[in-house]
Amino acid sequence: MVSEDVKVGHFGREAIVGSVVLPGQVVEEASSAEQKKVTLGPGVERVKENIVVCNSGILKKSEPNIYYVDNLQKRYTPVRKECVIGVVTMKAGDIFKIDINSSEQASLSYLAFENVSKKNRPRIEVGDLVYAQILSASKDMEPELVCVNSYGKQVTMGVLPAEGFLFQCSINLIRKILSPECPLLSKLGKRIPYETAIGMNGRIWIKAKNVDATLLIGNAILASEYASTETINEICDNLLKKLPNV
Amino acid sequence: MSAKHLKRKKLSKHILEMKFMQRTKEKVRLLDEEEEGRATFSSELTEQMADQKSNYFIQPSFAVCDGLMPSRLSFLGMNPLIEKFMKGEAGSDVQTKEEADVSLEEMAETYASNSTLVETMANKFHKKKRDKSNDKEPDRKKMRLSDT
Repeated sequence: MVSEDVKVGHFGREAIVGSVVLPGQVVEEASSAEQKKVTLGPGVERVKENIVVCNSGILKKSEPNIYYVDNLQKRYTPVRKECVIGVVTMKAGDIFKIDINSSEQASLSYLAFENVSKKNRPRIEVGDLVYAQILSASKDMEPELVCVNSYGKQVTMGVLPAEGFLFQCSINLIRKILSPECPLLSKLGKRIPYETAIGMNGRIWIKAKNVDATLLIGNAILASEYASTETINEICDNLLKKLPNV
Repeated sequence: MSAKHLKRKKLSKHILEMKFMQRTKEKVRLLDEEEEGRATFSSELTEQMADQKSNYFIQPSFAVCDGLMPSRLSFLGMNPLIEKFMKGEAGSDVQTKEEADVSLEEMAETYASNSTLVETMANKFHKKKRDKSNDKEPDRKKMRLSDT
């Protein structure tokens, strides 16, 4: 995510948008914007009248008036409504314990699926992968997952098919490949038929028709971590050339 | 709080469980939660605090701040269901549209092959047209009735 036009911060009291910031610096721009509505993203907090940075990274601003700190991160902190990929580690009575890469395991009720009842339980075994949404995430409690939306529909969530390949990467890479400007996934999708689930917790699951294609997609994703858009295009072209007709 | 409780009409649990009430159910749940929260903190909240409005919203998710794409994707027909959701804007119409047992083409073919059915259907529409034309001049009819 680090681009060339990042200014080196002066590390005074004020945090400047687009430059490197440290915890404790004040975002004056947001603090003084009294009338306007301001959204505080991750890494920015309100302390009394001031908006204070609480993470080191690059301070970014996106429309409309969203301030957040873009930092390198490998550990996942659960956030409500984000979609994650979890591994079932335990079946305990009426909940499943799911490892979602955070400091604590998440719980998933067996009733949080579509078309299940107390008698008709979902078929989930230890070791299965689930693509689920975080229902509640708080500092003091374990996160809770669900596999249905608020209308009780499964939509795209649920247990991921057994055949597929799961690997882990940094959370920055997840954000990079999911940003609308990144051509990677759609470019690969024009040549290779594949299916993917990308969890905000730094896990990527890929299913393609054969091992070669799966590995190619995995390598392409991992190679694009620090690459610019043009380099990503080059990487894709090079890899696709090597691939026999799928 | 109890006065507010009385003001709002309560829908029974069974009605809310019905399929067509799902949206209302969600609304009722949100209202209930809000009320519950207010009741819990009523001792600590002053009137002034409750009326104060903040211009700051907290959004702890990168997905919203960065405007990320949906993260379940499928390409070139690997998983048709997912592709359907990708096309149809998060599946809002997939949810409402129920798949028909008999497609439109099938229905047209069956009707075309059976001539009596076509006539019956045609009759139905003729009748309706006649009814409508009668409706247009009900006054005159009434007049005639009163004349006789």
